[in-house]
Amino acid sequence: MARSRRETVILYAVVITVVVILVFPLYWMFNTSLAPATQLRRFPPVFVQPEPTFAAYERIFNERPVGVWLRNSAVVAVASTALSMFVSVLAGYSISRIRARGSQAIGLFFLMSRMLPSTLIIIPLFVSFRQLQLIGDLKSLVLAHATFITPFAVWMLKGYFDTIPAELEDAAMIDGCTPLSALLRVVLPLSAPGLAATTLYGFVLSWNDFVFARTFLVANQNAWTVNVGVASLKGEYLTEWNEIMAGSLIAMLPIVLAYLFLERFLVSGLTAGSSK
Amino acid sequence: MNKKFPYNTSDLKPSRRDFLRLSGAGLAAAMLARYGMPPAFAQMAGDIPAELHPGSPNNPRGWTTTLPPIPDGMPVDPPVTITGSRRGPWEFAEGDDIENSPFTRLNAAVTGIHWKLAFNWTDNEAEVLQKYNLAIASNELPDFMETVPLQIYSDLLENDLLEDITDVWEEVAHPVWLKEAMGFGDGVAWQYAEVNGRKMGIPYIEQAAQNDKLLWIRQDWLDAVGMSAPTTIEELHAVMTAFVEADMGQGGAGTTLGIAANSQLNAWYCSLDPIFGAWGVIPAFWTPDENGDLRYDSIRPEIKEVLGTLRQWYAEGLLAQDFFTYAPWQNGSHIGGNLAGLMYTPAFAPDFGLPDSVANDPDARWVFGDIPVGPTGIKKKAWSNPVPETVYCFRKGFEHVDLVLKQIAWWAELLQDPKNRHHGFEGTRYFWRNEDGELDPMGGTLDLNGYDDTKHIWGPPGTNGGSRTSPFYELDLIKERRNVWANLPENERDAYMEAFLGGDALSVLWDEAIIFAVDHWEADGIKNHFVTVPTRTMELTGAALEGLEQEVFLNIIIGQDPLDRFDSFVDEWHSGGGDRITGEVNEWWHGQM
Amino acid sequence: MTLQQYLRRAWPLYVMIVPGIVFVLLFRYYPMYGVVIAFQDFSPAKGFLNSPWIGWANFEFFFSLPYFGRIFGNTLIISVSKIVLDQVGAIILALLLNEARHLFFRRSIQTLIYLPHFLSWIVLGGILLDILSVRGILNQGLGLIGIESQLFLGSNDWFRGTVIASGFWKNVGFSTIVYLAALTAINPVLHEAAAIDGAGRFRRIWHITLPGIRPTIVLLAALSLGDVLQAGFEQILTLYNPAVYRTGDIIDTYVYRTGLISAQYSLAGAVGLFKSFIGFILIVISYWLADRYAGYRIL
Repeated sequence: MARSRRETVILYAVVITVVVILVFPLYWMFNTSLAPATQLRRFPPVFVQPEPTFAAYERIFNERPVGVWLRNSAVVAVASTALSMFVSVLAGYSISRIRARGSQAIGLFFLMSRMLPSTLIIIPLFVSFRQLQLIGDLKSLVLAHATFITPFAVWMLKGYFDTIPAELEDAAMIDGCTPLSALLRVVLPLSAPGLAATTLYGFVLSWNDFVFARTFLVANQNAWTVNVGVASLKGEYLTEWNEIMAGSLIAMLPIVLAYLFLERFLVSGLTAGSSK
Repeated sequence: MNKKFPYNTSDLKPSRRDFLRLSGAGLAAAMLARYGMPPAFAQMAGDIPAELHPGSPNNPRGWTTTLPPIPDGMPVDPPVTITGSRRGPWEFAEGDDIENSPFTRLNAAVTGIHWKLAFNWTDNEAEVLQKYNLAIASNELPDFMETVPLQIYSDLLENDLLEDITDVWEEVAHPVWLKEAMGFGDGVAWQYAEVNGRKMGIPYIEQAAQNDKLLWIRQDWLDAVGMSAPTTIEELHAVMTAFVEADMGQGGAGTTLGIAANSQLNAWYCSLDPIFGAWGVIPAFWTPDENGDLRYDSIRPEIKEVLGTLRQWYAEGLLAQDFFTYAPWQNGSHIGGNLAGLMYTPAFAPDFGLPDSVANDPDARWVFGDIPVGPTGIKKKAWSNPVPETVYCFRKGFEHVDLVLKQIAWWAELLQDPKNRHHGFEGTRYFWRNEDGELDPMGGTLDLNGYDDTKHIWGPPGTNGGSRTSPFYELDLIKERRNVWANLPENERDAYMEAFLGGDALSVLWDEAIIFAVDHWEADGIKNHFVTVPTRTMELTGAALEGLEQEVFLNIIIGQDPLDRFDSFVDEWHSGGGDRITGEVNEWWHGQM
Repeated sequence: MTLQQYLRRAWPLYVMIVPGIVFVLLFRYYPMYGVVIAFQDFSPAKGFLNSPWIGWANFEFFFSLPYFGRIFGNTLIISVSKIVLDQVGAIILALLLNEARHLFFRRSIQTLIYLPHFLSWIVLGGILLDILSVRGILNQGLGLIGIESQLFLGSNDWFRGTVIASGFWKNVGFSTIVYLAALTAINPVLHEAAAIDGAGRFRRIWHITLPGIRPTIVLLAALSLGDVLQAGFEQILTLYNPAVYRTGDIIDTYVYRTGLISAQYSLAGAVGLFKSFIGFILIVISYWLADRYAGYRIL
């Protein structure tokens, strides 16, 4: 499609400006993470570290089991997202396709489950997990995270499934497909971007959790997720910001990786869109 | 902290094998013969295997840690396992953890106690409450509970879940390291731990005058503007004005601060409480009036005068324009960045802020002085209570309180008596060291993984945050090294003494500041006399009133509210629950006497 | 189609929903007995069974707080502004990115803008205090173009704006990704047909793109309405100070200072329940509105 040069320039200028504003604090973090300890409390702050050093990173990696934290977070995020996606794809699809009145009640059932704030269910959940001997175990987090990912995921997936014309499955089912195989063969491939976005959403909810992780995991720092670990870098009185910034940036890396992995599915649609 | 310590001088260095061979009966004599040193380790305790012994086996000057005598009946056989809660965070060397480190291994050998972690929390206030609540709710209280917050403590008391330790204490508590150490100040240590004359726990004890403020001043700035250290609030004002007008700071024109401050008027760092104290009041403190009743200082008319003064200072640009958006620790950048040359900060200033200041400006010369007096000659500041609102408790029905008390006393003696020369476990990463890996017991630049016994030991002398059994432990140590070790001829000092005596200018300043602060602790302090759990009305509306107070005070200072807002605040305070709180506070107060 | 015929064909759909229901029942509904603490004077030592019942007293106490009006108002203003800004901003950003042709450019930007979502407010708060202070980078920059320095965190004129803008900054990138995924579902043929008919860029966006992502817009709007009383607890806690309580104190920060700090579990529970209840009502209303006026059932 034709687009004037002027339009393109304006578009890119706007996008770049927005992005610079959005990204500046990230740069600031990176800049701080490179500061030598003696420069942290210097005034005025500098845009570019005159003597950048990776000492903060080295220190964190040498002194803390960052690799273990990252692995724990990844295990929990992947497992809880997978669990949630499994139940949510099935539930979301059937809510989207059931034409009887009952589907609304079921939708409401999932919706209602979000109603209670976590402050109220955290004690009962803790007591249950304690009885199941799960406290201190990553499994407790997988379950806890899946409980709050699932309602969201059901909703989001139902929304994406709604955009896929039911005629396609009807045709497949006339050809002898069961609803399950219609879902697997027809609907899921078509809703790849939606699945990717929902997976990402769930992954992120799990990755970002701090409250449940702090409650259900115990002292041994080898059992921590990266959020709990990074929070522990902040001392009570003294705060070495270069280490906190370095820790936060390290904690973000897997998210970038998860995104880059899922992005091809998001982009599969995007590419199709851009051919307009 | 930069004093070099000759432990790489190989010709003086006995190998670890030498040490193992020498350890035992012949050790003292052998060491004496070899180095001509009086043995500091004559009293080797029992049969503690050499590999568990703390100390400095490779040290060239032949000193090692002396272990206190092993308590009667210990180590218990069979060993017992005790569960406990701990405050984190902590770090351990590879393969060690809170249940298994050189400390717990030595402890097991001495006492027969094995510690098992029930749960932990970090320094977050909401988290410690949650962790204790969850433990109570799931009916799994640990045997030994570290630093139980007061709200939890009263809930536990109310429901009869705590062990009364009064009798065991009488029987087994060490006469010096527990009974005497905790008996200071007419028993104030027991203000929370003792309920109706019964001991329901062990007090948490901080160091004397730990948070009492001194006035810290840049002497080089004073010299530059040709003034001397301020002794009155009026002089303080003149010095602040001179600093600001002369642009003494490192941040360029117009960025110098008169005095560093933050959103908390009575803060642990860069506080303003001595300004209020100069008028004889401390915000949020309860103090006795002429009739012997307690009154709330924040509503006294003197507060209005202080607020008026601070308001004027703010308008004159002596306080940072956004001082009230900072938390105390953020003032570190004002001091370290050399924007301010005055602050009211406790004796630990040479540990936080000053090192950065000196690093960024080698000419910076900090001194401390007494707090300036107010217009009517009052010189007061907030008195720091060495007994914070928390208690160590034991689960109801726990059978080994006696063992825990003995263990606590043993570690207290080892850690708190400077003669024992405890400095951790050299060679296992658990010892004082500086960034070059050298022995550095001054602790000023503790490495993250450096030796910090508070994180590793179970019981009061090991709590994260620095509890000891005596509030004078730090002072005693400083006095020992200044009055005894420093007077020894150099060739009679052992390496331990040398390391302690080898502090740089800042750590010497720190020692002097501690001595000064403790000297003025009782005389200059205004005490908050309300020391118990919050009253009923405090629980309901106290926090709302506190919030109102902070909001109004800050807004008056920064000119967003008129000074007379103070009067309507007082009215609101009275009618909003303050009168009821006053009644309840006095009911408690008179019940005390 | 008779019911029997329908069931013969559709029964697998009903079976597929069972795992979800079981899971949610077990881990989301079962623990709901925790709700009783909102109606008790809960003490963990007495437990759920033995703590005294006090009816609606916790709620009454909450509603009669001297500053209830102020904190409720602040909460609504901040949260509604955030929701509107976040949704509108994310849609615009998604449309802009969708127009950008360089795939590499677009991918890198997508990755970058969604990163802030993963920073905790504890960390971000530190950065913002650095950037926004009177001597911070932003004020220094403003100084260069002759604007006086502003108390972004310390003045009641600015505080809400700072909270809203920084909240927008943190979350917009992530919402954008969700919209971008929705944009892919739009059939490009529609655009081509419209272009052939001579429709301009904005007409096409208005008539094709926006209606195409309508379900996503409605869904995300409804979801965020459910959180309308969550104005950003951690964020405000790290950024505020007593001088801006007037404009910045929200329900959660207030309850934190008064309730949680003094361990009033029940009060905190009652407030949480109240917030969820309001959120639930709003979701139901938006559900009804979407069904009635947009002809779309979000459930």
